Parts: sequence; C-alpha cells; structure tokens
Amino acid sequence: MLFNSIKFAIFLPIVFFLYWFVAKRNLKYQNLLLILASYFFYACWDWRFLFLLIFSTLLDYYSGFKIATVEEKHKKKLWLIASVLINLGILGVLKYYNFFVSSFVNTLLQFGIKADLGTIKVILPVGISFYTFHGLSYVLDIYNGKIKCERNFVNYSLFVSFFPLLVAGPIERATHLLPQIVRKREFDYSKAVDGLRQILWGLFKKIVIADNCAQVANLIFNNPGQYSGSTIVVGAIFFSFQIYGDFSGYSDIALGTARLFGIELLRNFAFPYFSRDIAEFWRRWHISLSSWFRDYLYIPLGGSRGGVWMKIRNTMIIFLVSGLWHGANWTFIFWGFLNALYMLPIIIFKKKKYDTDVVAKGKYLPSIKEFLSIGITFAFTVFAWIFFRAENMTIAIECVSKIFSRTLFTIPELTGNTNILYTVIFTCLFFIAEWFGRGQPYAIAKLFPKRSRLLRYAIYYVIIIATIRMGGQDQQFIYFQF
Amino acid sequence: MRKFIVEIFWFLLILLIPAIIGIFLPCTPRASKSLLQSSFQKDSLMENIKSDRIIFIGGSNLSFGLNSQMIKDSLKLNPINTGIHAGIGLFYMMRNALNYIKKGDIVILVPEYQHFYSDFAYGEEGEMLTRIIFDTDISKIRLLEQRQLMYVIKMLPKYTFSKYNPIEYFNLSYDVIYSVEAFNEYGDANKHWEMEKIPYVPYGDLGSTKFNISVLEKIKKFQIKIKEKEAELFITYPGYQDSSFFNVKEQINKIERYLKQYNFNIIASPERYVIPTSMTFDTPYHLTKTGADYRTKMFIEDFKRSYSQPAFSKK
Repeated sequence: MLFNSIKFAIFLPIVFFLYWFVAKRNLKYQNLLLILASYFFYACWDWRFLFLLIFSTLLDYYSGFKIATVEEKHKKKLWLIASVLINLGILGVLKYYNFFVSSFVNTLLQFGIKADLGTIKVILPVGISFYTFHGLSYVLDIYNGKIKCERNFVNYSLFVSFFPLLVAGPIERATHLLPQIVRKREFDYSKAVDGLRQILWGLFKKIVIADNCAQVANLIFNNPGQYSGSTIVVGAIFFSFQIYGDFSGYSDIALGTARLFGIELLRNFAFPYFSRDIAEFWRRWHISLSSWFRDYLYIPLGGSRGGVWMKIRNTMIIFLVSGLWHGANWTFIFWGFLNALYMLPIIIFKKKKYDTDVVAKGKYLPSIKEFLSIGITFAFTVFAWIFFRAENMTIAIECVSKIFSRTLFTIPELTGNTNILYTVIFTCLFFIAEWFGRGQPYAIAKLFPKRSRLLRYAIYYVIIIATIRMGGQDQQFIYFQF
Repeated sequence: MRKFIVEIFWFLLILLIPAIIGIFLPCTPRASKSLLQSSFQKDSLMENIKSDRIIFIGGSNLSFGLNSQMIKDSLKLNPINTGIHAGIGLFYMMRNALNYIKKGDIVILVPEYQHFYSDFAYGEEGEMLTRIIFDTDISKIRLLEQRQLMYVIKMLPKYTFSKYNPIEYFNLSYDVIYSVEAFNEYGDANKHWEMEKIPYVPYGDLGSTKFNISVLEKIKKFQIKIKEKEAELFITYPGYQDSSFFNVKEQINKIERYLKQYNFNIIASPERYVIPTSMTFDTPYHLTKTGADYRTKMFIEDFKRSYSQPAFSKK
C-alpha cells in the first residue's frame, strides 16, 4: 500500500475515524487499533513477511526484557550480542548473502579459481532495514541504560511497526517514540491541520517533483550509452531532485500521518540541498539514519576523540556501512566511499563546523560565499548520486567517463519528452518554495500565517491541482527497496 | 474535532463539485482530434466490413507499422487494422474486438512486448484507457474488469481537471500524425508515410521486468471465445527497432518461450521482425513507409507459410 495510492486514501480516514471516534480516549484500544492497522498495512505488501516482522519484534522485546532484568553484566552482554547477531544475521542473509557470495566467486575467478557457491532465491522484505534498526536501537539503549524496557508488548510492537514509519522510516528511537506511545493522546486541531498540510506537501514532492524527474532520469540512466556527457549530467541533476522529492516526500507524509494520530516522529530532512559543505549535508539528509550511525557506530568506535587518523578511519567505516545499508551492490558502497572522501578535507583541515541552523538566516538571498558553497556541495552530491543510481559499476563508470569527455560540452539531448518543460518549471518553483520556507520544519509549514484563510486555501487548491495535473507515471518510493 | 471534520468536508466539497461536473462535460475540442477518436472508425470497420476478413489487434505497432493495402492485394482478405495505442491495454483491445468478431474471421493478435510485463496489459498507465472510455463511448466501461477500473479511477482526477484546462479549448494546433485524421480506410496511420524520420532514443527496457503470466491466461481465454465464434486466432510479434530489441532480448525471449508453452498459433519469431533503425519513424514501434512495407511483406510470407500448414488449410 503506497502512500500515494487510492488504497491508502481509503485506509487512512478509516483508521483515523476508528482511532478518534471508536477507540476514543482509551489509550489501550488506540494502541491496539494502531498496531492492527500497521500489520494490515504491512500485510498489503506481502503477508508472508508479517511473520518475520513479528518474529523480529518478539526477539527484541524479549532480549530487551532480559537485558533489563538479568543481574549479571556478562549475561546482559550475552543477550545483547544474541539480539544483535540474530537481527543482523536475518538482514545479512536476506539482503546481502547473494551479493557477498557472487562477489567472492568473482574474486576467485580473477585468480583462475572456479567456485560454485549457491545463491538463494529470496524477495527482500519491504522495510527490513528500517525495522531492524528500530529494534537494535531499542536493545542497545536498554543495555546502555538510556531507557527502561517496555513491558507492554502492544506498546513495544507499535514502536517497531507504527505504519507511517514501518517501511521507509524515519528510523525512530525508543527514547523519542516510546514515551509518546505510552502517554495519553488528545486530539489537537492545529496539529491535525499541520499534519494534513505536511501530507499535502509530501504528496506534491513525490508526485509532481520525484515522479516527473524520475521519468527523465530513468530515460537517461536506463540507456546511458546513447547519451552525451552533458545529457548524463542533466540526468544526474534530475535524479538528485527525484531522490530528494521521493524520500523527503515520503518522510513528510509519514510525519504528517503520525501527527494526525497525535504522534511526533523524528525529522528526517532539513533542506539538505542548501548545505554549505558535505558534513552539513549529512546532518540535513536522512537525519534519522545519520544520527543512528553516529550514536551506535561512530561514537562506540571512538568518534572524534582519537585524533585525525582515527576520525578518518571511523568516518570511512560509517560511510561504507551506510552505503552497504542502502543496498547489496558495489555502486552503493562506492557511493558511501565517495562521500567519505568528500569528508576528508573537512576532517584534515579541521574546518569549522556549520550547524544545521537556517542558511542565510534573515536574508532573502545567500551571500556570494554561501551561494558558491551551496553550489559546490550540490555539484559534489550530484556526482555521487550517479553511483547511487547506476545499475552497476560498469554503467556508473561509463556515465562518469562520458561526463569527462568532450560530449560534456554539447547540448543535452532531451527530445521526445514534452513534460520536461513543466517538470523544470515545477522543480524551480519547488526549489524557491523550499528556499523561502527553509526556516520551517517543512517548506509550507507556516504558509502566510497572517493572511486570510481564503488565500491559504487557494494555495492548497493550487498545490492539489498541480499534483493532479502533473501526476507522472507512478514510481515506487526509492527507499522501499532498502 | 468537529471543527476539523467540518472544515475538511467543505474543503473537499469545493474540490469535488467541479471534479464531478468535469467528468460529464463533453469531450474537449482538443481531445476530439485525438487519435483515440479513431476507435469509432475502427469499431465501424469491424462491424461493417464483409468477409473474408483479417483483423489485426494490438497497439500502435500496428497502426504505425502495417500497410493493409498490401495485405488485401496479396492475401485477398479484407484487412482491418484496429491498432490505436498500446497504453489502452491489451485486455481492453481484446474484449472490445470480441464484440465484432464473426464466423470465419482470422484474428491476428500483435501485442507490444510491454504488454507481457507488469500491468501494462490492463492499461496501467491509465490515461489512454480513461480517455478512450470517457472521450469516446462511456458505455464501454462495462468492458473493464476491476483492476482496469482501479487504474481509471486513479486517472479520473487528472482527466476531469483537463476539462478545465484552457489549452484543451483554445490552443487547437495538433500533430496530424497523432490525430484522428491520420488513418486510412483500413485503419492504418499513414500521414507520416511521406515525412522525414524523426530522431529518437531507443528503449533501454520494457518498463518493468515483472513478467505477467495472467496475460497468457487471458489470451488463452480469448482464443477459446474466438473458437466459439468459429474464427481463428494467430499471434505474431511487433516490428521493433534493432537496438531497442537487443537491449531487451532476454525479456523478449521469455515472451516467446511462454507463448510456445501455451501452444498458441504463432506466426514467425521476434527476431524476424527486428527492424533496422533507418526504417523506424519516431519510436521503436513506429515504422516509416519503407518499414511498414518491409514488415508487411514479411508478415504476408510468414502468414502464408503458417496458414498453408495442414492444421489451418481450411480455405
């Protein structure tokens, strides 16, 4: 059930109605309803994987309980190790087994050794990387004494499986979400309106920006051999907007949906394409994943405490792991590696850290320095996206070699796609809206608060009509595959 | 809560009233020039042309890739080219044609390769299927099954708001190649035959790699119904530009394997209809006059060979 599907448009009002009118004011029933709705939502993808989700939930629930209740330190550690190993084991087998086996066989082949290690035929359960990380953060936080274990299984299940975040995040923390689940929730008019507004904006990003940019990007990346270097650059730029519109659009819909039920999820994007360097970009892009890796990998590895070399090593590790988290393909690993390389000058020269405060705060336009920094960071990011988008390393290298050829200086060939002009216009308008709304949690969060309701409604209608008019060919949300 | 519900109600009502009106507004002047309007002509051909008939069912690989006059001259059959646009979906094309198939008809099914993957045969893109229903003959909604209806419903908002788009009423310049005027008396689109080839990028994929087995099941049922009408079904492959073909050769081979497994009456092989780029017009399926002649000539040879086999030598 996609967020931009008719099924979801029917599902959400039904759950909303039952939640506030039938299970009204009874937290136990509200949570039970949400967990049932979440399992139904997940079963719509493939009901067989529901068992895996429930197993994963039971595993972490029980491990968390044992870690919290056993007295001996070494037993706590054993339960933690068991939980981490089983979680990562399932993820490893389902997501990475074939990749590692075929990479190993290919490596042996380079040395003239023929090996036949069987691969497994398996469909990757949707959202597995996300709910595995939810569970891991829970047991790690209990082990580290940051939270107490949750004794109520329904509450814990809801933390793992709450449908807005189940298949593509944000990756929640028990410290943030569990207290909201166990607390009584009252309907709040302004929060509900804000939730709907964020859903609308998310749909606009997905349907108008991402799906239309995808049509151009797919055309080019599905057949890069046919295109010039300049066209591939254009394709990469379109892909950059596609992936941003797609994933941040999904996050907006997830956050907005959760808010309708009185639950606040973690912010996942903070206008990343306005970042002034790559470190800032990673503090603004997929924030819930970046902070997860920071807290559960980077800091335990020593973080920034051990000098420059240790910092470089740790940065390399988290970016490579982050690349691998995105998918079992060398393209993702190289994408992670490339981002780690981008970080090196910042680490080596100990560049002053930009915080994630508003860029060019209080000004209409950025300064020339800011403008150049944003442009350069964007260019580096776009270049890295080529590896992320390419089907394999051969295609990625083909794209890059085309970019660094004379054909870079030719006019891009984008014939035959009449929608391109509209896509460019809407993407520019979107970019402008994002710039002027960059001080808000999302671009239209405080849309003309002092103006009349009529004007605000008119803008909502324009967004809806644009979404209907520009609705491109449906594309699956990219992050579902991770 | 009450305030919230009331506001949503009014908000949606303001949106829904023009949307519902839009559905029932007459077809816009721009849409009335669309190639979809040729469905009237094609239905009329199927209704009125006398036996012995050879009816071609498929998408634009037929409308833009066949020279029916050659078929008439060579096979001495009355050709009817029902091809309009692949986006309508194969299932709609088949169900619509079934209404008109008569005893003794030879039906040649030529699906685009995309029809075998994902839900393309259901008309999953939605727009063409929605438009052919609402812009031509709304009563044909009865031909749709549930999944097709879902795609139509999904497309309805876009369709209904197009009725309020000024371009639909005032900017009436249109491409004659893709208009209702493009078709000759057999249903071939031939306005482009005298035009220069338009450069285009070959297809790198078929849009999806998810093979849809139900397409074969539905063709099987279609074959049974045709037999009941004492007509005969043949399946053949579309003319497809060479480099696009080689980009998806594996996927096309899979289609061929499955069609053979189902024991359909198959004419020739996909390789047979690989068309040199120079003979294609503006997409891998659309052929120039030379291309259409080349493909038709091969089809005639292949058809004669298949039809002269003992199983089909009734004539």
